[in-house]
Amino acid sequence: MALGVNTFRRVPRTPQSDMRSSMVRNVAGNAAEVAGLRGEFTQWLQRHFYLNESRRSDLALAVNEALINAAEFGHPDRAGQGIVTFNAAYDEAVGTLTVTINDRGRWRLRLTRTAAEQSVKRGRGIALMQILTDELRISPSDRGTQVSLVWTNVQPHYFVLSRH
Amino acid sequence: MNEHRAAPGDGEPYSTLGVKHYWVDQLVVIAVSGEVDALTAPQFSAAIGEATAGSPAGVIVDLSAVDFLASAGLGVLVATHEQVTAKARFGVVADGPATRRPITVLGLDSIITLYRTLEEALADMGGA
Repeated sequence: MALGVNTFRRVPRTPQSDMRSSMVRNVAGNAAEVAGLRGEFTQWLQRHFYLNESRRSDLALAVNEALINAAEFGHPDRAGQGIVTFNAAYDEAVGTLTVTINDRGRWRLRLTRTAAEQSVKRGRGIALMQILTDELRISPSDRGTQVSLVWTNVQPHYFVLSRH
Repeated sequence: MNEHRAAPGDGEPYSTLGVKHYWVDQLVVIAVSGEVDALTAPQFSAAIGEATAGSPAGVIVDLSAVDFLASAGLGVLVATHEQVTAKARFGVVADGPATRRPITVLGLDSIITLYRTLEEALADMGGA
């Protein structure tokens, strides 16, 4: 696309965006670690992507709920605290942001065993994830549960054109 | 004032919650600030319990200064609604995507009365 240099200024790519905008973390499965990671993810979003306030809120909340589920229910036994693996990857060819969260527990099993109050709590979290994403996949396996949250039409900062 | 801050680690600071309450005639207003998530929801719940102990005619939870509201916080709001509405009115002040949106997308505004401003809540609930 040809752009008149006097009309538009192309915002330079930052070194971070050359890394194809991915963020990978392993955290202990507890509420404090989830809060810290949520804050870091929010800053990462602000640094890399053009999102309005509403969408930024949606992403932070959906990711928070997935992390909390992984932290609360994602360990093989009740006593232990699991490790939660977080991976956010941006595919610039199609403008899709995918956040994948892995734990070592089974949400489905926990749902049948857990108290009614916890089911309601978790039900709300999963409902929020479904509503606030463009696509949600929850995949239980023998090794744990993987949840993928997908957002389409995500614009990186360097595609934003500003007038002089 | 019930200020809670979890010990920050090497990276990002963890969630911070501020809760204070005051009376406007027969209404108790619970003003909340910061982030209401799984880490801070127990403090949020405890502070509401404290604030509503004095048999108010109505309870207003003001989320105007809250910048993150997770399902754990929504659970506290629903539980408070159930406890309070037996004997008093209950309203929540929420505006903007961080607070109003999680409540409305789940349809919780059909259970909980929402207001955009504290003034609106006070006027409707009779404390002005």
